[in-house]
Amino acid sequence: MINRSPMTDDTKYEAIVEERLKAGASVRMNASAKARVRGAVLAYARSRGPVVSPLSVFRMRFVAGMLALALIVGGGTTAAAAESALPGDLLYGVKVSVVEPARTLAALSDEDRASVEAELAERRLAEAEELSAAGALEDSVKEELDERYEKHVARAELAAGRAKDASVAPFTRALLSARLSAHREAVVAFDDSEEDEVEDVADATALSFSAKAAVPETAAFSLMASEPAPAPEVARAAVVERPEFELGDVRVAALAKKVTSALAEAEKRIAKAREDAPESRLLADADAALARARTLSDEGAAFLASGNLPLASSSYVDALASARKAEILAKGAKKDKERDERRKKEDKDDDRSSLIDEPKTPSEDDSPERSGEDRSSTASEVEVEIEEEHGEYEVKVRGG
Amino acid sequence: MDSRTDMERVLTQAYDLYADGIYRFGVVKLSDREAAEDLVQDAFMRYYDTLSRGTVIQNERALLYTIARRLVIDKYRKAKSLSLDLLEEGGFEPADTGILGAEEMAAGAEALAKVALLPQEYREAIQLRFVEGFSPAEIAEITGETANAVSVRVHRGLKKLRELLEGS
Repeated sequence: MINRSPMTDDTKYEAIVEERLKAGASVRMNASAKARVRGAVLAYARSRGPVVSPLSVFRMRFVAGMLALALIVGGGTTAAAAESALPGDLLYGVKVSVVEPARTLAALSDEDRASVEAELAERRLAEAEELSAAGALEDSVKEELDERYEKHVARAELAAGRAKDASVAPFTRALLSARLSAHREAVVAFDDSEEDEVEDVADATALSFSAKAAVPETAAFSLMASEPAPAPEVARAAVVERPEFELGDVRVAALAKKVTSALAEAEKRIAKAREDAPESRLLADADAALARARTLSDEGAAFLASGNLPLASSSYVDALASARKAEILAKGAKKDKERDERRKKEDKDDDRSSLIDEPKTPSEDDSPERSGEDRSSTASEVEVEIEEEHGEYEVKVRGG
Repeated sequence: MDSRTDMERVLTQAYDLYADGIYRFGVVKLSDREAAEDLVQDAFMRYYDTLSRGTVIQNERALLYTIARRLVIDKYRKAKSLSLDLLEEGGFEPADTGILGAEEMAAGAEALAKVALLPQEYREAIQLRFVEGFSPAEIAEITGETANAVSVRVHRGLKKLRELLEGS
């Protein structure tokens, strides 16, 4: 005791502890987990690939300028090539890492941000569907979309939660839920119509389901994950109150407005599909979904008139889902036809390369999000072009 | 960093060298093997983001721990229900180390368990200093404290650890 000065004691003890603690470094990741995570990280790096070099060559000024441009463009109205890019396309990186983040930056309020993120989440689902319909949804891409989807949903939830107005969160959830069930039901309908693509479509379904399971477990989200997709032809027995979507009258009115414009959009799509692909099996499904949406919308209006806001919200959410589903199916009808034609052509000249050569024009149909109501007027005013040359990107702006 | 393959090479090299360390960091912080694996994945993704922004990296290992640390903080912020003291209550589940022998595994897990015994404020400094072998200056870089504050923390943590070990 006497000859143990605190100083030497500590030093000695430190040496002993150091020796013992060092052993901790022998704890390692399980080899298979380590390999799996390595693969995921590498896949991530590759998925970010195309964006990486332009971003690192950009001077910050240039990036800022570009973001500002994207801001001017606002809600993504221009038919910039990147907007319609799918995973695997050169411009997809620009789309998800430049154009879309710029849109979330452009969002002025938490509510805007929540709605943009919810919209982006839906885009990922639509992309998975589109790739799946073309038989090109690879596992790695599916994972990537899955992950991006989760991120958008989580961010939407976060932004909605941050909003001062307490009605933003249930409203965002209601919209998100409507969109998700629309896609889920649409995928089921696609499933019925494509015997030899069933596997791919099942993949797409798995994507949306697994993604939902990973979503933060708020009441609404866990509900969505466990709720089985109702068969489209089964008539609704009763309207269910869903407290997580409980909205005040202002929000219900906003929802009603969204339903009206979604109905109009679906009608337009179906009319167009009827011209383009009159014999598609999906048309009947789309018609049925539209009819159901109308009924639900009327129901919602009746509940609203009688002052029953919870049931009005619930009806409108379902109406919105059904209208959106009709729209997706109508778009699908056209794609369905394109695929049939492609198949016939393949049978004819037995040229497998035509599979890859599917023209990908940046037509309106390719963008999952275009609900006429919110953004339309600025469409032709500014046009941004991103051109790639020798690995560098050039941004051109016209009009304004 | 000019080409993509270069960046991938840097990424995979860093992963092979430091994934286990980040994993240990996560195991002690999160007390959950799967969460620690997720942490490794997220940390290296963010690391790649940093690389791809063309940032000049001085100490990649310290940067990785800095990223991992922030991710853990974010995680706690998001899940407020998750108590910071969960570790102390729930104890510590040793990691499955695959290739190691039982003895080595036990010693390693025991060491980390000791770190996990410490109060939150000392855990990080002790782990980084003695398990991962960082210098106080490097730890300061990671936690955003001064090197001096880190030294004090390490010293006090050590004392605390001794109390805990001798008390039991």
